[in-house]
Amino acid sequence: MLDSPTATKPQSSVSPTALAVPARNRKSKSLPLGFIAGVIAVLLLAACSSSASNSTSSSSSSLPKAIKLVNIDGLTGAGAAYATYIKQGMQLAVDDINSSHYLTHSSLSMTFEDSTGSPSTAASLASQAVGKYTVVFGPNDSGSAVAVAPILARNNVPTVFTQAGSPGVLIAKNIVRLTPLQTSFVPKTLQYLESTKAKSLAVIYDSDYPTLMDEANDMKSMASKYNYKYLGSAAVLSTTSDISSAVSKLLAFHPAAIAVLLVGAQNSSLGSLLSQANFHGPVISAEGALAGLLGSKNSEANGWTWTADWNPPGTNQKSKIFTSQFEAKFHATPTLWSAEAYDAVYYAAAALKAANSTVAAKVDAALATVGANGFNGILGSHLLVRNGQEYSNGFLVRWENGGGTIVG
Amino acid sequence: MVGLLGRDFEKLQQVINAAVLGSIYSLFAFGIGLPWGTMNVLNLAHGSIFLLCGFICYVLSVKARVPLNLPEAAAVAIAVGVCADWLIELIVFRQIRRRSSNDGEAQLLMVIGSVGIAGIPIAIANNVTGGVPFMILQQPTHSREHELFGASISNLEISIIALSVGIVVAAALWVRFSRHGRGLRAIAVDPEIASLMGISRSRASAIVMGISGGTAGLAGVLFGEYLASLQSTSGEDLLLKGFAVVVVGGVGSLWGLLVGAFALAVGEVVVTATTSGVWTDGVSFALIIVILLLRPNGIFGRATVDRT
Repeated sequence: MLDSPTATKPQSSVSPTALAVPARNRKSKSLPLGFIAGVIAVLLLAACSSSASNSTSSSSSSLPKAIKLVNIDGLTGAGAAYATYIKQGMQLAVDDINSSHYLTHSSLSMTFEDSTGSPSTAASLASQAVGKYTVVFGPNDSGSAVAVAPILARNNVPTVFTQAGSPGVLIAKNIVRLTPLQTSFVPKTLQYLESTKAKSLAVIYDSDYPTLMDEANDMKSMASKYNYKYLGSAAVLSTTSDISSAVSKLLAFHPAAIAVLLVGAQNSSLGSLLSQANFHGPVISAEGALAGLLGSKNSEANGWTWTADWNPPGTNQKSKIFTSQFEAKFHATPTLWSAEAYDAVYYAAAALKAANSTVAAKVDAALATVGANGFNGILGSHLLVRNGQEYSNGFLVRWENGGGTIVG
Repeated sequence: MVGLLGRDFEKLQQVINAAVLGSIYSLFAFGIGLPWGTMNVLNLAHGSIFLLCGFICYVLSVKARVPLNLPEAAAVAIAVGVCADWLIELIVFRQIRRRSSNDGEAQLLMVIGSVGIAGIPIAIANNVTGGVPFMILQQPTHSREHELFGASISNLEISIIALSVGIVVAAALWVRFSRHGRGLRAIAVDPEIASLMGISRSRASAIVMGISGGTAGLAGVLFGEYLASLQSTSGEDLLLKGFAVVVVGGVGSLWGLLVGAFALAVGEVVVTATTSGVWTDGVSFALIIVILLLRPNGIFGRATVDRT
């Protein structure tokens, strides 16, 4: 259905010329002139039909045989776990798209560039990607995403981000973000907190992650709405390994509940420290906690609850198939980062199919159209993307004995 | 310091936190400071050897399901650390020393060589774990907690403090009073004259690198258990702190190293407890700059104490 408008266009460009020539031919009275006109008409018709057939054929196969995509992300560094999950999701999506001939005669090839989690390296890789790749998948951490977005916007490179919830990412029409804003999940998490009857909250967060800082601020500003007292916060840097002094500061507030907005190994470290301190109150978190806890299978974090846009095996059939394919390929349970990345590649492929072209302007327009019509992905059957931003209600996920389960 | 830290039990708890953090820094920095102060080898691969030791324990215990307890894991990690540093000494540092025209050139090449080596364990760990944090034992060690005037301290924390301070103090005494230690100090002052006096530089290097690697292994296991997990960047995160500790204490002074480690830890804990944690690294390193402006050779640098 998406192909039909481009398929009909060449025919309409042929017909006016074809009709006009016989009309002029009828008005001619001189034979030589008529003969010449006839020859011209035949030549014109031949030329037009030839051009029409070329045009039609080029429109039906205007996607090249190989379409080059690139993912720039921190495969090493503090956020390497997330980038690795994203890489796995993308690899699976590319394999699926190519083996199912989703793009008919075209196949996708994905290059993975390691930005090491450094915004300057990410920006340099983005500059090198301009003109070399049809679609760029940007880094998942906001700091790097903000660094690469202006480069890709300036050069009008179709760009898809997952995660990277900071302002300064969606700065042009050629950029879409296929992860709901983490801050949009805060109210759902706080509704859960309200249901636990906890009357006070203290927050520990990574101050060098803008999204986590925004969430911490939201938890402060929404305190009265969700009937708790905001006691204070303790901030650490994501490179700080020993967070015990920040945890002591946090516990000195004597909170009924704690919000954890940390990355990587800090999550499992915090689980251990809270357990040592005999803290048994509700712990709310953000989806980033999952990666930190998964590696350690930390049972000390049992009961931690957060809102996420996906949790294995998901809720729809597509999602369940994805989960089993992922487990077969990587011998591991997929995470939401892999799921989002899988959808992101399919989303870009759908845009390429709709555009039937790798010309940046056409792909940009198709990225918007696909999202406005509702994208059928594993994160949801009718995911809406407006002004480049994906929207979703999210699910409450609770950590229990080495894994997350959907609880609401 | 205590007055700055805030409420009730938090004061004492933060003192304990600073003691544990200072001990971790001193044990880690000791592995950098000993070869640097005695053999003029700045081994920037120390952080990745620390990681490698914890990672090997993870592979054995979690992946291969070999049932290891904490002391056994520590023994494995120490052995891995000693072997890894010996290999570095044998394959890289010794060859560089042999082929360099002078000591200055050799020192520079060894720093560059160690940077190159540092990438290998990180890449391996990153590839195997996918950057995901990993536990070094199948089950975390639940060490007994002791109540101390409202604060708490675990057996693991007591072990970290005792082992770290004990090892650094013992090493400082060994370097100062033992025959081998005097040999090391002689090499540090003038390697050529030391070798004319019959002190084997190769043997001394092997001993120093072995001790350095062993402490990296011990630190990897203790720190990995204390934090509940490690990740591929854990060693690199500590490397800058370890380097700062050695410089502040004064290169060549193990007593200075101990003071530098606790000074940095106290600075970090006070900043975290009293301000937003955003300032922790900034204020701590600003303090280091102030110390170095006042005492360019570090707290116990050459101006006051020659070599340990």
